[in-house]
Parts: sequence; C-alpha cells; structure tokens
Amino acid sequence: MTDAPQRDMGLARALWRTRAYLLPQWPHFALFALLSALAMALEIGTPLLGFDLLTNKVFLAEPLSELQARLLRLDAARYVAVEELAEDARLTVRNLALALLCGLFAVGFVLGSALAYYLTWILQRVNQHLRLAMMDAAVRLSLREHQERQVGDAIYRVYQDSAMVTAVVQNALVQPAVALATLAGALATVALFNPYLGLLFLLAAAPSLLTAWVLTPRLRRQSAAARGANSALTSHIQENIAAARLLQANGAEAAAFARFRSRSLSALDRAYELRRTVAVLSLAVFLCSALVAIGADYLMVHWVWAEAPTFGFGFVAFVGFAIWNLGAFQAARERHISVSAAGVTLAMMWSLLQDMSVGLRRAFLLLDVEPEVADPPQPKPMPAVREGVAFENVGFAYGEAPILRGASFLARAGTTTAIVGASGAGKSTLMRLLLRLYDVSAGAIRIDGVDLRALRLAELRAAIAVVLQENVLFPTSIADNIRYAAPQASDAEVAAAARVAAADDFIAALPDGFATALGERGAKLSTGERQRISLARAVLKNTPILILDEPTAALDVATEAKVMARLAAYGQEGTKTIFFITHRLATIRQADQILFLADGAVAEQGDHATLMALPNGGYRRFVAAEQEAA
Amino acid sequence: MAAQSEAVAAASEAIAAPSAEAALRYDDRIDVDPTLTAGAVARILRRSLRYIWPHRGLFGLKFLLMLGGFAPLLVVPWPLKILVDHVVVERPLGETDIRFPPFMAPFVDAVAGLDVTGVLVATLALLAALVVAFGTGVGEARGNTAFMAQGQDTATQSENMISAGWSLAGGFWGLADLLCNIRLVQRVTDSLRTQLFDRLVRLPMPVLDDQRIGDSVYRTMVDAPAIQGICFDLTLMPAVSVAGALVSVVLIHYSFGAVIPELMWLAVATMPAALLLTAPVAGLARRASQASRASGSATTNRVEEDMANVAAVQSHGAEARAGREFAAASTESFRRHRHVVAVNIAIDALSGLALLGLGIWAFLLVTDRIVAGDLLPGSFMVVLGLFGTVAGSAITFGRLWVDFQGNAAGVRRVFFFLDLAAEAESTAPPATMARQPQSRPRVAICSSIAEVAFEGVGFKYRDGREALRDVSFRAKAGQLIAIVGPTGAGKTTLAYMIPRFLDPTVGRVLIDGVDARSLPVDQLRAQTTYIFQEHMFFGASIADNLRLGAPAASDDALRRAARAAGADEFVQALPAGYETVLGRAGDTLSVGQKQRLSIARGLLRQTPVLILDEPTAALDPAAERTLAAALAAHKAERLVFAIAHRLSTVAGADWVLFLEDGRVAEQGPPAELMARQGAFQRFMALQQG
Repeated sequence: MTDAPQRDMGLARALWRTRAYLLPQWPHFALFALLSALAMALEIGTPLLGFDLLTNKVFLAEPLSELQARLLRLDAARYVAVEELAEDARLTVRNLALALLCGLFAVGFVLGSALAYYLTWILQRVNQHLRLAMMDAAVRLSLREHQERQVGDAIYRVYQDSAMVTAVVQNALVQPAVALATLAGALATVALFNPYLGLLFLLAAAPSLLTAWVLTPRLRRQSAAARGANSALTSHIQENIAAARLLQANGAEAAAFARFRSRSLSALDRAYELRRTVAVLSLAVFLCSALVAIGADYLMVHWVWAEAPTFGFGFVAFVGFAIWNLGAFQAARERHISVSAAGVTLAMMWSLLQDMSVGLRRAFLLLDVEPEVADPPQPKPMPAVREGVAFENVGFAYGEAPILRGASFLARAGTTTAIVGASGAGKSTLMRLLLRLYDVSAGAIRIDGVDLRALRLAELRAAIAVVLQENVLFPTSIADNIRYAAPQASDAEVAAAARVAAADDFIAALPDGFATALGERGAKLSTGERQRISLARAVLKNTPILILDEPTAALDVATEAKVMARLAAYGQEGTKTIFFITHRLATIRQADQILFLADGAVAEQGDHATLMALPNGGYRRFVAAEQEAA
Repeated sequence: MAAQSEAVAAASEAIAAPSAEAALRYDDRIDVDPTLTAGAVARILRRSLRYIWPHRGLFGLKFLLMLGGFAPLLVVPWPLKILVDHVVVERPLGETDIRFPPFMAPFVDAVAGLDVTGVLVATLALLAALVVAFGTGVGEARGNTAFMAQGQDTATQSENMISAGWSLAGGFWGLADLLCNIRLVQRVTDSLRTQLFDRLVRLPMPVLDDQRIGDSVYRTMVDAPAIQGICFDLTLMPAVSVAGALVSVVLIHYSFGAVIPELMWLAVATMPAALLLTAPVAGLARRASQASRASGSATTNRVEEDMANVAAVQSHGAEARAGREFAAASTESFRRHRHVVAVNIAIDALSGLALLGLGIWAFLLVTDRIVAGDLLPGSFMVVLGLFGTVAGSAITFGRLWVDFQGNAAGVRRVFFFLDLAAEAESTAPPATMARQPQSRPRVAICSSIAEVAFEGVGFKYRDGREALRDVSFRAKAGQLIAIVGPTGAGKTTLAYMIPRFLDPTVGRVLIDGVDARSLPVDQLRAQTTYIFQEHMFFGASIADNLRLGAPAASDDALRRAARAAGADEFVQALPAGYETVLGRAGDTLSVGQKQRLSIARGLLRQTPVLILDEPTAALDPAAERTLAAALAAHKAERLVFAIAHRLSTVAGADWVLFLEDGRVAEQGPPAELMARQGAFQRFMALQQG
C-alpha cells in the first residue's frame, strides 16, 4: 500500500472530503461566523470614527457633523454651527472619543478572546472525530495491509496528518473568510473615498496571483517531502526504541544514532525549504501591495490639497469625510495597511492550503484503504459450533509465494486437533485464516457448514479465543491483561482462568499479585510466565473455539504437563473445539486428531497411532527426530 | 562504581512503587513526578542555554538581524510625520514643533529646499525604500513569519515549533532574519533531540522494560522542540526587546523631553507593569502545559500500542475497545490543551490592561499639547509609533517568563531521560562516543575474553523479590555452558549479567579476572553477543538486519552464518532473497524463521562470548540439529552459553548450570549430573516424557 494511487487527489477533493467532519458542527460554525462578523464591523468602524474625531475635530478644530453631535449629545450651537471648535470643546470631543474608543476596544477584545477559545473548541471536536475514524480504520485493517506499513507511520498519520482537518477549517475557511472580508471591507471603504483607489489595489493583485501560481507546484512538492521525511523519522524512533535491547546487545547504538541524525537533518532541511518558499511568496505579495499603497499616498495628498469631494460623501458624512482632509487621508491610509495585511494573509493561506491538502491526502489514505476482510452485506448468524470446523481445499498465497495449497480437514466440535509440521510449513497461517485475519485465496472454511465469509467479523472473533505464539501483553496490570478479551469478568473468574493456565502460583508470589503492573510489552516476567498469562486470557474469554499457537514452547515439562492436564479438563467440560500448534510430543499424543503439514498441504491426518502406522510417513520421521532431540 | 546499579535500582524502585496518583494522571511509569518548582525551572534554563553555544555563529547573526529589524520601527514614524505636518497640512519644514532625531537630519536637510510636491515625492521615495528593505514597521502587516498549518494540541503544534521562524521586520531584511531564525531553531532542537535519542536507546535494561515506546516518540518529536523556545525567548527576545525599547525611550526623551517630560517615564513604566501583572500567572501556565504534554504522551502511547500489537487486538475482537480507549485519551489531551489556550488569553488580557492604562495617560498628555498648539498633529503619529514599539517590547517581555513555563515543562521531560541514562553511564562512558570526553575507565579489555566467572552473585529487585542467590561458577573459552531449569528459575537474569544488561546486587561477575563493573560497557558488549527470546527486526532488508551488529561482514560470511542457523534455505526461496524487506517487525515470516534469522544475526558477529536465550524453542528437530552442530563448531575458540530445555542441546554441553528458585541446584558435566540421579536428572527425564 503506497501513496501513489492517491497522488492525483486534488486540493479541492481533499477539502471536499473534510465535509463529513465539518458539517455536524454547523451550528457552531454559524454562531462563530455571526460573532466574527460583529467583531469585524467593530474593527472597521472604530478607526473610521476615531480618525475623523481625533484628526479633523480635535487636532484641526473642524466642526462636528449634526449626526455626530446628536449621537455624542453635544450642543449643536457650540459644536456644529461654528467656524472652528473652541479649545475646551476640542478637549470635550477628545474625552468622548477616548471613552467611545475604549468601550469599543473592550467589547472587541472580549469578543476576540471568546472567539479564539470557541474556535479551538470547535476545531478540537472536528479533529477528534477524524482521529477516531482513522484509529478505528487502522486497528481494523487486515494484517496483510499492516505488514506493509510501519508503526511510526500510523502514529504520524493519526496525529499530524489528521490535525490538518482542523487546519482546513482554520486556514481554508475561517482565516481566508476573515482575510477576504477584511479585504472587501477595506476596498469598499477606500472606494467610498475614491473608486480609482479601489481599482489600483485590485491591480496589485495581478502580480501577486502570478507569483502564487508559479510557486504552487513547488509548495506542494516541498510539503509532501517535509511530511514524508517527518513520518520516516517518527517510524525510525519507534522502531529503534522498540528494539533498543537489540541495539545494545549488538553494539549498534552508534550506528542507529548516525542514522537518526541523518534522518533528523533531512527532515529539518525539507521543513526549511518549504518555509523558505512560503516566505518568498508572502514577501512578493507584500511588496506588491505596499508599493501600490505608497503610490496611492501620492494621489491622496493631491486630493487633500485640492479639497476634492470624496466619492461616497453622502455615506461618509456620518464620519465626517465629505471632502478629502487629513482625517480622510489617515483613515484611507490605515485601510491600505489592512489591504496589504489581508493580501499577505491570503498568500500565507494559499501556501498552507497546499501543505494541508498533502497532509489530508495522507490522512484520508488510511481511511480509504478498502478493508480486505470485511463484513458481508447480509451476514448470517454465528452458528453454535455443534458440528465443527471444516477446511475445504483451502489455499492461501502471500504475494506470489503460496503458503497453503488445498488444505482440507474437519475438526469436530468437542475434539482437540494438533497441527504439526516444520517451521514455515503454514501452521500459524492456517489458524490466522480461521480468525479471518486474512481471507483464503482458494477454497472455503466453514463452521457448522456456514462459510466464514458469510459471518459478521465481530461475531466470528468473539467465538474464538487465541493464544498467540508471540505473547502480547499490555503495560497494565496482570488482571487487566487477563481480562483483555473479556472486560466484564469478575475477579473470581480471572483467578479461575489463571488456575487453568497454571499461572496462579507465580502470580500469587508477586508482591502485588493480580494488581502487578507490567512493563512495556510485558517485560519483567519470564517468557514462560507471559505465555501462561496469555493462556489465562484465552481461557477467560470462554469461547466455543480455542486456538493455541505453541502454547507451551517456553514452559518446562512439569509446568507443561500441569497446563495441558488442566486445559484438557476445561475443554471437556465446555465441549470446546481446540486447536494446538506444537512440537511437544506429550501434547500431540493426547490430541484426538493430528494434522501433519508439509509444504503448505495437509500431508497426513489421523490420530497418533494411525499416523505412526504409516510406513515411512512424515509424521513418523518427525516423532523420531523429536524423541532424539528431547 | 555503584552508580549504575543505583540507577538501575532507583529505576526498579520507581517501577515497583509508582505513586498511584501520578501514574494515573500522567500514564507514565518511570518519570512519575513531573512537578516543577521555580528553582528547578531556573536550573532548566541554565542548562538549556548551554545548547546555544555550539551554534553561536548563527546565534550572533540572528542577534544582529533582529536588532536591524528595529530600524523601521524607529525610522518610519518620522517620514509619516513629515507627510502629515509638512505635506498634507503644508507647514514649512523649518517650523517644526519637536526635534527630529539625528538620523533624520540628512534627509531633512536634503529636502529643506524643495517645494511641497518635492518633499512629497522625496518622502514617499524614502518610505518606499524602507518598505522594500524593512517592511512597513507599523500596523498589522509588520513582521514576517512562516508558520505552517497546525492542529489544536501540543503534539501537532510541535512541528511548527521545531522550524519556527519570526522576524520583527518585513521586506528583504525580514526574509533574511526569518530564514536565519528557522535555521538556528532547527539546529538547537536537533542537538537536543539527537542526544535524547542516543540516550533512550542506551537506557539500562530494567528501565527500558518499563519505558513506553509512544512516550519515547513523544518526548523526541514533541517535547524536544520546546528547547528552542527557551533558548530563544530568554536570550534574544529580552535583549533585543530591551534594546529596542531603550532606543525608543531615548528618542521620546530627545524629541519630546522639552514639551512633555513625563512621556519618557510613562514609556519606561510599561515594562515593569507588564511583568508585574503577568508574573503571578506563570505557575498556572506551567501546570497547564505540563498536563497538556503528559496527556498528549498518553494518547501517543495508545496509538503505538494498538498499532504495534494489531494482530492481538484483532484476534481478541478488541477493536472497539481500542477505539474507546483512544477516544478517552484523545479527548483528555484536547481538553487540557484548551486550558493552555484559556491561560494564554488571560495573560494577554492582563498585560493588555496594564498597557492600556499607560497608553491612555500618554494619549491625554499628547492630545492636550496638540489642542494647546504646542505640538503638530503629525507628532501624534510619532508618539503612536514610538510608544507602540515600547509597548510591544513590554508585552513580549511580560510573556517571556510565562511562555518559558510551558517550554520548561517540555524540556524537563527531555532532560529527565538524559539524566537517567547519564547516571547509568557514569562508570563507563561509551568508548565509541568520541564526542563525550569523560574520564577513561580504569581497565580496558585488550584481548578477547577467555574466561567468565560468577562469584557469589545475587540479584534482588527493590520490591524484595529475589531473582538470583549465591551463584558461582567459572567458564572458559572453548566451552558450551547449558543453563537449565524450570520456568522462572532466574536463567535469563543470570545471562543478562554477562553483557552487563544487569549488575548483581551481591557478589561479582569477573571477566578474565576483572570485575565487569570496572570495564567499559561498550567494549564488553563488543565482545559478547546476546540472542534474545523475542525476535526484533527493523523495516529493512534481511541482509541489513543480519548485519546489525557486524556492518562490515562480507556476503560470504553472511551466507555462512545464515546456513549455520538454518536460515539460508528459506531466505533463498524468497523472491528477493537476502534483499527481501521485512515488514512491520518482520511479520511476514513465521516465528521459527524469525528465530533462525535472530540466531544468524548473532553468529555473524563472531564475538568471543555468545549467549543464546532458548534458541530452539520454536525450531523443529531438523533445524535444531543443524544449529547444535553449528554451535559445536562455533565453540572451538569461543565461550557459548545456551539457555535450553532440550536434551540434544544440553547433552552436547561441556558444563550444565541447573537453576532452581534462583540458586544453582547442581552443576557439572551433563553425563555426571545425569548419573547423580538428582534434580537435574529428574527434570530431564520429565522432558523426555
């Protein structure tokens, strides 16, 4: 599974995919937009009002407009119908203006802070949904897909790449919307002073867009490289920490360090290159709009000199800018700066969009993998396993290498089947197929005559308990580990399961008993002890089918005999169908049926006596070799 | 000499008795007490600053670029004043209300003779030049950043942190400043995280057993970048902020001192005001950040564990449960990040409040003088600009200590492991790490190991469990020593002591007559090979995996080792042979095949001492015979230890150590022990069933 088929997934498609995670939050987004619009109106209105009052009225002593006087509750005779404001009148206007601006500022600040927190909250909700979907997809992917990816890669995708969904909201929706609204507001304001000014700024957009267009392919390339490099670094750390013991035992710490160093540097270089391109793009956009603003200054100074009427004087009369004056000059200038800022923001957002689309592609890839093993559209109910488990001409290939060919047998309910054969003969694969960790490539597996593929996956796995060859324990308490597949089990049931697995003695000897916390990967216990905890876990699950993959390989014979005897009693009590994979003769002999695998096929089957009677049989040779070795 | 065992013992103790509450809150086994005091924060600061020294060149350059970034802030207000007072309002340049600063004198002199249009064009040209070089210096468009998209918690924001760049200036100067900044931050972070990685893979064995992998990943990728915040925020930022503020204050005094003398003192007061108001919140910020990081780490643990053990998760039908547990961890990490956001908003409000008060006071003073006619309207622009610079510095300054708290929490998590590992290493600095010039160990191994002896060796966990008691024996090169005994008898603990994965708590392990604890660990391990019971592989080709401990081994040697381990045949049968890339943890191979590869990897190293931990548990008899023969050939000039059950392995041994309950119950040549009809004979008889 590689990212290759997804390369053509465009920015738009990646963004479109996010809708499923965004739409459920629409009431929040709507409220957020409403409040933001209010904040923006305050942001544009405050300086317009402020510049007029402060510059024209306070500094230059021009009279107020009637509307302003009425709103500020000032006497029209002293403030409107005069040639020039008196000194005390100017101070009064100043104090009122200051109070007004402080009030507006306070409202704006509270609103802004609340909005920042609110947005974080909304975005976290969105991200949580995507993360959960990814994690869910990741733990359900068939083993075949898992074998081709690294753990660190999944960590990186679930974390870093999934976070891009909130970045989409922030950088593809919220911030561009804010920047565009600011731009529109500023342009409209400027155009009210003089439409040509607005046009001038639109012209500045052309070179900006051109630069963005030229740099975009590079942005995408560099973003993909940066994310890939960081993902590789995460995998590298995970793998090496997990195998730190091995590195120490082989004196390979220095080599691992050197590899880490070069990967780390490479990840940093990729990040640097990406940011350099982003910085160059923003600089280009900034220079375009800033130089246009300076040109506009030149025009505006001339209009002020000429006391030219403003274009929308009817509208701006409220704030007192009927003609070009110092206040109008400064208000318009202030809007120019907004325009430049919004332009740079948009350029940044464009860069971020490229990065996000790359990240989203990586996130969605995990969701897009069709699970190879899936529930049928109309699943049949799980049978009670009264007849047994039948393999019919089962074949399985891993890539091009065939692992199993035409394997057929029947394991009756309530019997034990031992699966025997050389390493790599396909013993474990046989059992993984029964669990549907993979699907068969040929033939069928049936339980009570029902094809596994017609069953619901969750029901099938709930009916099977497994002891894996590699004992996987989690870093929780021993009791929690035993309860892993049966979380509701009582303490007494846990203790009973531990007794069947002959784990009760050593657990009792631990200072904290069942509450003992295990280390990473169950270290601190010997291999044999871990094996018995895994066994207790399977017993506690209490399912009609039990699979034991080399359950006693790490046990000494006395312990093994104890485990096997207790297990046999447990199996007979509950009519369990039990499968063993093992080398141990003592165990094999007790089985009701033995399957001897050779080269991916069931070469011989029958009980011990039957198979031993085959002249020159493979099983017979195996027993001879085993006895010699034991 | 006892330092390592102390470190190990301390770690065991931490493992045995993690404070229940701490473990719950932080999902952590080793680093269980993450609370930080103000004193500890100061020590973290001192220590972090040392990471800057190797990058002092870049650091100096960034300092100069940052200082230069103040140019527009100081210069731009003056042409704006000229534009307002002398162009728009058309006052002659000579009739100025305040003194222009000296750096404006050449420009003012040059344009003094021009008509008003000439002054306009010259001023706009100056502004344009400033904008191209330095940016506008005021308003929203100032500065330059290159933050990429990020998520809503500490983990997803770390990637921006490690390549963070910021410049006060815009324009080309800002670009240079930004790029220099990113490089500096990357280099400093890289120094720390590579050092951390190195220490993590060298952690003593018992610590390693308890360290969660996800946590290690989080510390390296998310916590380490916090150091840039410390190095940068507490060195360059305050220095440059104070410098910029000082120049602004001097300018205010120079130009306005005659008209409004108080203005300077108002500007001076901003900095202490911002600091005083925000300092009390520092502890809150630190705790919020710690909690956010710890919960992020717990979330990473969940992902890592479920991904690494996905076969187990699926076989037990625990997919839904894995999802639920991840959801809980993730929700918690988001919630704690929101606390960080809330604290930040509160701090902004507090420092904003302080500056607003002072700003209003300055506003009243200046507008009074303008209304009185002592100042021109354009001077308002100058005060706005200069006061803005001072206020900006004050806000930065006020946030420094607070921002530092969050970063200190991250860096503490990194230093914790540096210290833990350093403590364990102190007796024996790694020989291969030339960049760590520590004192040489007393003894060096010069020739290959010829003898390993245990003298009254015991090992006790801090929780009181005794794994080994009074073990004594002597083994020489050319011997195959079988370590036999029931499950849990202490066989692996004993074997771990030979390459010093563990140190005895009682007694001594002697290598060629010298106490192993006085030998450099690296040299000792270079002479021993340990083949673990669990099989660990990297996502690399089979050949690269086999060459892990012997990178220079020839293809021939590789094949020989693989043949001896019975792995050559099935590797050759793979479509890509030795170039087959192993999947996750080598999952595409059967356990028996992995075991054979592990053994081949060990044999390839050709070390004087070879230790095999249950090498044949998953092997079929034929494969085992091949291996036994290979071991017999191998032991000629070497010392081989094998933990074994099987008679075929045991019978070929020169000496058997039979362990029971952590004691050597019997030892001697296998034939002799069998003849003795003791515990060993009974044990082996059971094996044959």
